[in-house]
Amino acid sequence: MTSIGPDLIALLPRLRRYAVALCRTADVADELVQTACERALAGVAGLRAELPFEAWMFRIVRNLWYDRLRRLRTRGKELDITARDDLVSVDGERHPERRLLLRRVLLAIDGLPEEQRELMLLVCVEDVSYRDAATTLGLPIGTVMSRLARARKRIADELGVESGRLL
Amino acid sequence: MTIDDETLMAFADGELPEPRFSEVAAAVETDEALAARLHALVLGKDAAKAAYGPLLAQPVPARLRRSVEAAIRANERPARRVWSPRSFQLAAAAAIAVVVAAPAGYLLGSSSAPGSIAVAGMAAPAALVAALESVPSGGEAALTGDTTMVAIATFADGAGILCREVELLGPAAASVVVACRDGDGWGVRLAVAIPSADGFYLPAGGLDAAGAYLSAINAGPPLSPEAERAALPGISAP
Repeated sequence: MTSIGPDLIALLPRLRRYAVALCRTADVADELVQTACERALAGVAGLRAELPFEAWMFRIVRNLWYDRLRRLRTRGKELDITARDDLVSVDGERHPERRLLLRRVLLAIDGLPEEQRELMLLVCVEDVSYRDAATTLGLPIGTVMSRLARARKRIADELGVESGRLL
Repeated sequence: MTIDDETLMAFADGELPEPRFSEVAAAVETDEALAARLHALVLGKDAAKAAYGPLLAQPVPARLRRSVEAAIRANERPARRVWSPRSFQLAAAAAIAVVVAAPAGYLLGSSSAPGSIAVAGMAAPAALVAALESVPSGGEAALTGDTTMVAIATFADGAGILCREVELLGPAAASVVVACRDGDGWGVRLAVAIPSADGFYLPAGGLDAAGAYLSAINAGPPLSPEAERAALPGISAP
C-alpha cells in the first residue's frame, strides 16, 4: 500500500490555508482538513498519475466543502459567509497603508463569484497549474483560463493599478 | 497581432509555450495598452498571494495535527500491507454495498414497512428512476409514499459510469442513496440510513459511509449544472 502519510503531514499547512480561505471559518476548515485526510488515507486507490498529490488533496477538501454547502442550501440553510473569522488576518502587517490594501484585497476576493474565487485560491494562492486546476475542478482548461483572467482583472480594477507599488 | 487576456495571463504565469511566449514578450515591449493589461493581470495574482500569504505562517493547530497523525497511524499500519490498494478498494465497496438500513424501505416499493431491508444492486423503483432522470442537483421531487427525493450531486465513478447521490426523506426517517446508470435504467448501489433530516448538520454516520463508498468507487467531482444537463437530458434548462 502506498504510504502518503509523510506527504500529508508536509502538505498540512497549505491544505489548512486552502480550507480556511475556502470556507472562511477556522473550526470548519480544521474539520474539513481532517475529514479530507481520512478520505485520502482510505482511498489512496483514487490517486492517479495525472493529478499531483497536492492537487488531489485540494480536490478532496474542495469537494467536501461544496458537498456540505449543497446540503445546507438544499435544506434552505445558508452559512453566514460574511462572518469571517479573524483567522485571515492582516494585522501582522506593520505598514498601515499596506494593511488597508490587503484588507481590500480580501474583500475583493470574497466578492468574486464563487467559481472565480475558488480558481484564484487554487492558482494564485496555491500555485496550482492551469491544467491541474482544470482536473481538480473537473473543468475544461479554457474555462479555467477565462474565469481566472476575468477574476484577476476585476481584482486589479477594484484595487486600482497604482496599488501595485504597495504589494 | 491581437492578444487576448487568457494568452496574456498565461504569459505572465509562465504557462505560455514558445514561440507564442517570445511573440507576446516582444509585443508587450512596444504596446503600452498591452503592457497595462498585463500589469493588471499580474497585480490580480500578486494581490491574492499577498493577502493570503500570512495565513501560511500560522502553525497548524496541534489538535488537527494530532488527529491527522492518528489517522495515518491507523491507516498505514504494517499489517495493512497485505492489502493492495486495489483489493482494499474492492473490499470497501463490497462491504458497504450490502449494508442497507431500514429507512430505505421505500426502495422495496412496499409500504415502507419498518425494518425492511433493501439490497443494494437492485433496480430503482419507477418513481425514483423518473426523479433521477429529471431533477437537477439541489432540486427535489415528491415520490410515492410521502417520500421526497433531494438530488445532491451527479458524478462519474472510476469506470466512467454516471451516478447520482440523492437523499430520500420520509416523514420518520431518511436515507442517502447512490444510484448509477445500469443499462437503460438505474441500479441502487448504496442506501444508508441517516437518523434525522431536519437537523442543521446531519449526523455523520450515514454520510461517512456514503463518503467512504464514493472514495471506494473513485467518484469524480460533482458535475457542473451544465454538464449535468448534458448527461441527463431529462433535466430542463433553468
